Amino acid sequence: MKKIIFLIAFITVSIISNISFAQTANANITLSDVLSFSVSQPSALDVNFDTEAKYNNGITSLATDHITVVSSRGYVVKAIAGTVSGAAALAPGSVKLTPAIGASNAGNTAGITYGSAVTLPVSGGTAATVITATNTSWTGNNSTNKFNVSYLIGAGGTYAGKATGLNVIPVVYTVTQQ
Amino acid sequence: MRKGLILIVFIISSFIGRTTQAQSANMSITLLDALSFTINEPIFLANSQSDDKNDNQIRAIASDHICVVSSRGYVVKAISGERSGSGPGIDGLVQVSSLIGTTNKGNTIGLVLKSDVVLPPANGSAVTLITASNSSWNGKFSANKFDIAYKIGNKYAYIDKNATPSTIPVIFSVIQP
Repeated sequence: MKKIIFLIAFITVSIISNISFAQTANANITLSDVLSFSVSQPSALDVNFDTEAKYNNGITSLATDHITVVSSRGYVVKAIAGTVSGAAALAPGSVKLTPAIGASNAGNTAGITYGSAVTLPVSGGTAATVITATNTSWTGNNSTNKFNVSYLIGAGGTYAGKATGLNVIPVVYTVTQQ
Repeated sequence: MRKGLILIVFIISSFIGRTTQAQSANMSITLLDALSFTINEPIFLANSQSDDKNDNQIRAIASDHICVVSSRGYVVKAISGERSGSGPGIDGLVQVSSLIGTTNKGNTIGLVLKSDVVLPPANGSAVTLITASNSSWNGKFSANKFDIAYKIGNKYAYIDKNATPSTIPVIFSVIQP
């Protein structure tokens, strides 16, 4: 009898010790917008008009990997002139921008559209869209979109007859997430 | 009411969430003088063999004789070079007039063209033939072209001269003042 009671107690304890307990922990993952943006200052943007051909045809300067964008979602890059300086008072509209995929771009190229020969708006005007990306810049491990920008400066004799000397036309780029 | 407030907050949040960043690059554009200048060799033959040519001047027009491309105003001058050959000289006997070129498409605003300018001798001072206060560019056309009318000789000036030919260079120069 004593053995039977001991056996029952042993079995009961065994069953009780096999009881499972469940608990949960939540990983709260918040995805926020990520956006970074840089524009290089290449030497190609320092130009001299000193021949008939340059005054006639303008100067085409290619800024390689000029614009860098990292964006967690779609974005738009726009351009507008800053305050022009110099005795010739060059019109920003004498500059046309043509963006293209960057020489060393490794980011996502799906859903990107480019402006072509976009006339640079005057400061105080409405910025012109040069690049539209409907998707993030990320593709796999590569986060960054890079863009070349070709500048056509002063074609058609626009600068002929103007005062000689140095003039500066700032180009202000903005990026906005869609 | 509560749903309306939530909707307004959502809309405002959407706009705030549109992150914008700005960067700029500067284009440094240096304008320098550009000037090119060509004179063609016209096809006209000036000789003095007929009575009529001895009685009067020989008149010859060189079409599109001078071509100038200039990023700003300019002045064209002319002077005689050293005569070669044993024929008669021309000192004071050549007059030059400038006219807008037959095929000119360049800028004609601010051009002052001189007529019947006596070509100075080689040791004289070049005489102004064309003054342009503006660039030669006119929209997409860069070049000014000019006809030059030469009047050679004078009444009976060469009548008793050696009949052998002379070559008299006419030297044109262009400067940007």
